[in-house]
Amino acid sequence: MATNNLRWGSRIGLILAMAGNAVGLGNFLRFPVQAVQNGGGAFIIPYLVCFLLMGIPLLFIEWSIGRFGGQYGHHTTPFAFNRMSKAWMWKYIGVFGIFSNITIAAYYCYIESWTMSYVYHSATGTFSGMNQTGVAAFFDDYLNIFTSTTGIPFEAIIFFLFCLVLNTWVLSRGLSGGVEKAAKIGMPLLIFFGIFLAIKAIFLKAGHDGAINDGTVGLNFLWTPQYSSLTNPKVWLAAAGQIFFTLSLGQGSVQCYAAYVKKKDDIALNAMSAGWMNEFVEVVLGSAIIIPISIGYLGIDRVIELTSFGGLGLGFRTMPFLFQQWGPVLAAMAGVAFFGLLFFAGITSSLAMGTPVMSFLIDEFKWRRSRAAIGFGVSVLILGLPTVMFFQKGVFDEYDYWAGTVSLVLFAMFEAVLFAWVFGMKKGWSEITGGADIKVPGVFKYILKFVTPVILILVFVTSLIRPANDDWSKVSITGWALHPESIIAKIRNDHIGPNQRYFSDTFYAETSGTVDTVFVCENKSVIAIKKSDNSVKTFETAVSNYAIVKKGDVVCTGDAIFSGRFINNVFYIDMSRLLLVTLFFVICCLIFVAYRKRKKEGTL
Amino acid sequence: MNTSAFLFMIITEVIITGLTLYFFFKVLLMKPKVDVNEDSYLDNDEPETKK
Repeated sequence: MATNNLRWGSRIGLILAMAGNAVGLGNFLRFPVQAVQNGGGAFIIPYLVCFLLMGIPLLFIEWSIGRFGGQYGHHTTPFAFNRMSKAWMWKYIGVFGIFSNITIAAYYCYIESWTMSYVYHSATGTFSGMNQTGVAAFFDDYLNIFTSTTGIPFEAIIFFLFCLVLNTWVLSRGLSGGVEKAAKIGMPLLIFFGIFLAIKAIFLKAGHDGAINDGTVGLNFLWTPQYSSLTNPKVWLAAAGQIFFTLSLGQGSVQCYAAYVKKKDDIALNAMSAGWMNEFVEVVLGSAIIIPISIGYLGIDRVIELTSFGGLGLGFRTMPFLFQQWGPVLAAMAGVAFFGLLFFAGITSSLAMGTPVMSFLIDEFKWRRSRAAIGFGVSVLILGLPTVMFFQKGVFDEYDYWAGTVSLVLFAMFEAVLFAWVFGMKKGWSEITGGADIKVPGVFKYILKFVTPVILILVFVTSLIRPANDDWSKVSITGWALHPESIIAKIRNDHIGPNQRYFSDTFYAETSGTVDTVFVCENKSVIAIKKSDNSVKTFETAVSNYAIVKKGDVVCTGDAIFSGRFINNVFYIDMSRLLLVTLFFVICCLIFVAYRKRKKEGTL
Repeated sequence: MNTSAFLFMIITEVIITGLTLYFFFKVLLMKPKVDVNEDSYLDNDEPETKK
């Protein structure tokens, strides 16, 4: 029988691993996009306020819960919560701390594999000579698992498997020999690549290498304060959401890393150091790369349009093309630096997701370290394959929404209440300050007790009932239209549109406009509809299905456009939800078994 | 860059970079605790007790 003898090698290693956990793809792809969409410079004010009132307090809470649980041999949240309160439900709420990690890792490893693949393609000059449409099409082809961009069949799956094996191998080497070493290599390289790209971006000159704007135009756009947006609840919600993602809060990984810190050792200074390191990477480096470069080449309007599709699109569909403007050698270097940076940001985070799962298997079922790492790898493979194979059917987005967004907020809300109100602030405060190498300001005692839980409850409630177009003035007692991204609207599948049946013989238009093109190519039938704002929405289906509209026809949302046999996206979406719910209940059952076992052994 | 954007960027970045370096160097320069029998870190163990 194996016991959990994982340990950190050094304090710096722990901080780099914890910072690596927090620093992820979102620091470079999500933060600048959120800033652009929420008032540029004015976004920073709510962002920093949320960091002080929610981010730092939650870091203190999660580090404390972790170290507290670790003293009793509980390295994951279910039994750490059970130690804090004997009420039966807390250990099941703690299940989120394992569930979120497996689920997020399942799709996160897939994105990580894209970065690995793009490092390869940048180094080998695949993007050389491609125009912007070609680079965007390359990304779409890559996501289609049946299309190979390198000649390797099922390339996306191969890279995903390779990435998963790498993660499993590093995890099997333990904390000091695996996770910590990866962080000690990854974090400095990431910062080095980031500084190189930021310097290139800031010193971009209009008229050189095809740039139409100076790099400072992008910085100006990002940093010009728009104080009017401070009164907009949408901006505050976006800032609070970004703090969650960027610090990897509400996930269970911070608690797990901190569980390997002993009672008399510091957590307060460690938390501050890792937290601020993440802020440096996000605000200082993250804001100085993709926005200045993309605005430099594409202009502000085009970038605003591109950011509406999210940071992933901008990073993978556009950046390789922009790097090409710097000549073949610099393009290869910039591509390797940019996607290498994203890869290191990704792998240090996915390793943090693997550690709680491994620790749970070692603690509760006495698995050996290598067996537990393989257990994590296999779980992620089973759960991740649907996101790879049905990416374009919306499975990836469902995982991201429920596990990567809703679960985090829900879990953080419960743990803040547990820590401050159930466990109690007196014990909680002594956990935070015990062994501390810095003096934690007393005001945090009140912030932790009153402000943080209230903010988290507000964030959750507003996510539940978010109004359409984020127009909060429309909220009334008689009801209001919901935003398609609100939790209630998501449950009702409001975002699906007219194709609400799993299987059908007709496919209905999901947008209004004029049919721009109808064609058959390779193995698919395609209809492109031009909307009133001149953007084009494309619908693709199998070649055996046929279009029942022709070029120039005006169609409205809900009009039939294809005839044949269809399995609609709603089928894949509901199946992925079923899979996630099943996973949650399976983990609950494992917790129940482990609880009975511990009770029998008297180790609760 | 306009003045307000420039000032806003510089002030924010200086504060964040300053605090990052301050906390990081505080950790770096902190001596291991001598009164703790066994701390959390392998590197601080006596050579014979290292696993």
